[in-house]
Amino acid sequence: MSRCPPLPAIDVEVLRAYLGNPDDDVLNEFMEAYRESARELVARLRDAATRAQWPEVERAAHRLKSSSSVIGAYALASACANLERAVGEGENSALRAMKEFDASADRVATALDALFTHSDAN
Amino acid sequence: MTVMLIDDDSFILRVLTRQLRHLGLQHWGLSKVSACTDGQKALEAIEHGNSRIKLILCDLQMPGLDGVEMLRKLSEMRYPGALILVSGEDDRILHAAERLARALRLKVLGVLRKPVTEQSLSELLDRLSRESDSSRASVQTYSAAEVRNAIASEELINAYQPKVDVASGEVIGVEALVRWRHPRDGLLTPDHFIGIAEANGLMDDLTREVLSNALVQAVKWRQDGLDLSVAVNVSVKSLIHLDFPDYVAREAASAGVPLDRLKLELTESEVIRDVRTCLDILTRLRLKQIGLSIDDFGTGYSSLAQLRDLPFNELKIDYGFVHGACHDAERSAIVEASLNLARQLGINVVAEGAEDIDDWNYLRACGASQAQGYFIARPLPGAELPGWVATWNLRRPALLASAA
Repeated sequence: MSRCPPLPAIDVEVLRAYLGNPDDDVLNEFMEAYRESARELVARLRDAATRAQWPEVERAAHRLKSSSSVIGAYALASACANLERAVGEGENSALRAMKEFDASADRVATALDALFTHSDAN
Repeated sequence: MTVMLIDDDSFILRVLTRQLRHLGLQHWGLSKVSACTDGQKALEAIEHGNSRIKLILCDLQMPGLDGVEMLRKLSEMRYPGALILVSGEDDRILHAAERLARALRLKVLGVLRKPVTEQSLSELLDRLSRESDSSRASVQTYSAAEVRNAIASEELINAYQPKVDVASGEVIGVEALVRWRHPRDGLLTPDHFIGIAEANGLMDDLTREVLSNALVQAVKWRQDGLDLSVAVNVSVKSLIHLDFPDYVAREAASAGVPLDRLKLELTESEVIRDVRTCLDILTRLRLKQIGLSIDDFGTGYSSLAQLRDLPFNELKIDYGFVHGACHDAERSAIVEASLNLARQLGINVVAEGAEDIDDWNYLRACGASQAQGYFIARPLPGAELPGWVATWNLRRPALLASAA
């Protein structure tokens, strides 16, 4: 399998297009809402994974997949889709997919933190 | 009027709400958005404010009450408004849910894949006004005696829907479609009376009436210089009299229609019980050069086994596979497989359900031989056919020039 160059963790322009080109205030408001929602979902998903509650992992991954694709977090959305599928294949697959998920989720969190630090500084 | 959004993710609800407001709710007669993360609570709200909710956008995948249970409940409470299904699931699940919703008699505007774009949303919302105009018309039922009388007193007439060659645009023939010119209720389509005729042993008489009218019409067209093949629908169930082929041949001969211009389109609503009689009749029809089509191919009992066992020389791909095939991976796979099948069996193939320019271009691109459908023509009174042919010939050059 060939390796593609890594996708940007998030793409604000994707969200801008979904919302019909709103101004930056509205955009920030939605990024903030996503950040909150993702923070909660990622925590819930990781917690369920440590308890091997795979159906709960699958549900959280499904939700996070949808919301992440709205803000252009495609790598995370794809990690969520892989995780959903892996849960169906058994615990070993699920544990492997968790690694990809953890890395993607961390990258998105870092990117969101940077975005808000940046906008706070302005 | 309220639009209700149901999704277990509050971020998604927020995005949808913003999209709806940005598009302008008032364009579709909506004034308020109500968002709900819990299916059960949503149902309670719908039940209480039933008439004020004009539209529901519902996600299929939810914890607790899932989308399918939601459809069932909405149907039970006779929710009269419109519905849009939203999902991040694969298309097959989404389409199955859509079919289920229609089967439950809910007004489904369509389905949206997540993430939802404003454009796809506004396209579905445009259907809202069209849907509310056409209320669920109840089907009037008639008694067996009324249907019997209609056949006897020549109240049945035929409409004719043209079939054209896809590559050349040439008009090949027509399918005769029966109508009942009811003295009080106007022109009725077969769904109002075929079931009654079938259940009361009237199909033979009905088929004879349709055949005889079609033959008379075919002769008129021949006198106008139109050499068209004419197809008549026959239920396999009614193939019980061994002299049926002789009867058909005699009728055609006395009207003056060559037998190779006559086709019978066979529909099957149940398993063939008497295979021997059926094979006897069909084989003799073919020996007399009368064409035999397997109608609605791919649905119900119209199956590969029938194609293997019975002497068909034409296959009609069902409407439900053809219309929209260019936008749908499953449908196009089935249409293309059917075309291949017909090609390898060396039989003619007609694609039914060519409803729009996309269907037409698709059929041209995948090499279908003949097509039938609203895009070409609606069923017409026999006398209007020569006029339609003239108009069609004017449309032909543009349709054949378009990307194939």
